[in-house]
Amino acid sequence: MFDIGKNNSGCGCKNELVAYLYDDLEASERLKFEKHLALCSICADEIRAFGAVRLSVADWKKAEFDELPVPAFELEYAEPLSKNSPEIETGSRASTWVEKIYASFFLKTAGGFVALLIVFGAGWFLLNSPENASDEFAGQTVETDEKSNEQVFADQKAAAETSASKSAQPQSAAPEEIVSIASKKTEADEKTSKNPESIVSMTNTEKAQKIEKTEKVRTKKKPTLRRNSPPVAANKNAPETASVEQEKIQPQRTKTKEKAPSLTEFAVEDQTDDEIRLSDIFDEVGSDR
Amino acid sequence: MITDLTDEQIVELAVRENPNAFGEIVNRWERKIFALCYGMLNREDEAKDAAQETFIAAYKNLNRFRGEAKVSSWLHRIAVNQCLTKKRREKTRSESFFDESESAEEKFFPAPGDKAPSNLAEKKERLQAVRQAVGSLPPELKEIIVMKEFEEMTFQEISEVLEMPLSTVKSRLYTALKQLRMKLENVSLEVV
Repeated sequence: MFDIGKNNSGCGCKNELVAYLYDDLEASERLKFEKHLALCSICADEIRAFGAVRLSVADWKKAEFDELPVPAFELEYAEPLSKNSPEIETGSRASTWVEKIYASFFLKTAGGFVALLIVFGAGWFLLNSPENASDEFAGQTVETDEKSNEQVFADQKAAAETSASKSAQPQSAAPEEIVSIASKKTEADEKTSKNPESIVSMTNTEKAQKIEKTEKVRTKKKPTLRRNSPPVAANKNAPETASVEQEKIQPQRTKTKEKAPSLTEFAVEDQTDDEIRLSDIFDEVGSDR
Repeated sequence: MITDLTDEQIVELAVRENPNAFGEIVNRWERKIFALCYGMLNREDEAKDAAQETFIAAYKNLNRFRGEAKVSSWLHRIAVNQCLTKKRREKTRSESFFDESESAEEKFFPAPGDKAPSNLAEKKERLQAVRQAVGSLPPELKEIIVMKEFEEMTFQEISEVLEMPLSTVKSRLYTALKQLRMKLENVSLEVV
């Protein structure tokens, strides 16, 4: 608080100095500052000088102002500013006619806006009720499923081509995803053909569960197919190609040892491979039931 | 009795039913508001005008007084603004140094035992120097020194009127005193 040595603005205790000058310190604080004054020449000098300034200002006030008569201020007191106005108690009122009009206009527009909001909100809620939403969603899923099946087949073709070209390289997760998507979408396709109504009532969670089941089945069955089928995909057996592909997709530990089939082995039989794979899946699904 | 009511109660009474009740507010604060205006403007006629305008403005805006601050703080704030507005208008007019000295001579009331010519002259010069020194302070410093020295307001009251912390009030007062010291010491040196 009392830092001796700062010469820029006294010793840094200007607030205490001013309070002491105008007798605005408590007894204990005054004693403390007086002890400081005894040690700080800067503060002591300022106290003396400021005291002289105060005396000069007081002399000026006494000489030029104290003797002046207080002027008579005349005000024209009009009618009561707000007579019988209950708004005074609340602390808010529109005293002028302009303010009243503005207040009423504002209230009307605000009320109208609120009413509009309520109407729109009710309409939106009715349109987007759960029943309506589920039907729409089901319709959309059917449509999207149909579209996505074509997309999946195209992707599968592309994946098969790329996998054949990149047989030496480690397989990425894309083919696996495509296979899984294919399993999902083909299953949905099967359901639409067999029981369109069931899709409408099926929820996303149920679909996901079904998909997981089919995947498990496929993953389980793949080893058996792999063992039985010859490794080369020269014949038109889907399990063989699927198993070969599966080998490629599997963790790449064994990959390095096995020789990947060349592109020419798959080139002619892409379409048939797809068909066979689908039928294979259908069989599997049918066997589950 | 209206004199027993607080300032806030009188304002409410004036707003509700009796506008003449505002006269009690004027009676209570006219001296202090006039002192504030005189300290800020250093001229009697201008201080009178500023004080009159302060009370007129306060009366016209009585219905806007919410009671969040004291009536005295509210009046002082209006008065300071009126003085600053007047000062700004005066800056556009070119007022010479001699106008002030002439008005000072009219207003000088020598104390008894102080009528010796040399003393009078010295005193006049000193008062003129003080008036000029205070008048040359920046507005934010002048209003604090005037409130403290002319109106003898407490730091708390000044803090409420000017809506600033206590520490800022004290700091500004310190700065104002320091500047006045420098100006008056220079004048003393010149006189010597």
